Amino acid sequence: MDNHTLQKRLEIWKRILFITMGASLTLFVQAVLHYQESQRLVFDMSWYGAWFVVQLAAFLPGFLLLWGKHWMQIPLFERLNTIFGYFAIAWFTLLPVGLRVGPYTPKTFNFFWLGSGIALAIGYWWLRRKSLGIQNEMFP
Amino acid sequence: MDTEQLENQFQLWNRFMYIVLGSAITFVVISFGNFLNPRGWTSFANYAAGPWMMLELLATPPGFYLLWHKPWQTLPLQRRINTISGYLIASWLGLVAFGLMIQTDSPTELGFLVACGAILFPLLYIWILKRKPSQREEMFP
Repeated sequence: MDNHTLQKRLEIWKRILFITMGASLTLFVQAVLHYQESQRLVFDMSWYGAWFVVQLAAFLPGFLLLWGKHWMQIPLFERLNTIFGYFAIAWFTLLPVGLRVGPYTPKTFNFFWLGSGIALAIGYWWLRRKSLGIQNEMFP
Repeated sequence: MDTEQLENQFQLWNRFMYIVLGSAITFVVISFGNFLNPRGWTSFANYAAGPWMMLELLATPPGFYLLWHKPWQTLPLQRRINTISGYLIASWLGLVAFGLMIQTDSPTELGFLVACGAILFPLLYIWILKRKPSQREEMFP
């Protein structure tokens, strides 16, 4: 696949990122309002189904753009914000399910959620530095 | 406002359209699931009604704003039509979700309206695409 086609595809992935963001925000708002209203765990399978799809739609493209064979042709610096946009959405999407199951396992969830947030921030900082270093080597 | 500023603002509206569209799709998916298995949302509860109203407010007015507001008319309609359609489709999907939320038995008037929208939107879109741009919309006549 040539660079031009990949750039076009990256633009499409950026648009899908915003769609996923909208879906994630909706799940979050519903979870907050539902928690305020009932404060109990309701097994509405469609909500969890939608949550699962959004979670997959956030995680998988992130890894695909990061490690996909074709995507290596595009410099990491150009992909990085999109990749971590997807990961950030995946992380944020954990929050609504945490609100639902949180009252049952508060400490475990909080630890996991905050830990993954810190890991995400460090990963972004580290990869950003790495990608900038590669760019500097290209234009010394 | 000059064309460059409008283009920049338009990019923001375009990105926001995708967020609203994602929200609308989520609503339809959850509502459809609950339509099949009505133990979830037994009624148009607060946690469904609030976000739904928000969605409609964020989808419908921006669509018409980009379509009819004077400054936007300096950008050719062909350039704006995809974003406008995105907003209006999100608004229509919101209506579909609403129909699925309150639907309990046979199709009602709302079902008729949703079906009409499904036919009229594509027709309107094709008509706008095929229509020749008017002199006012042409940037380089």
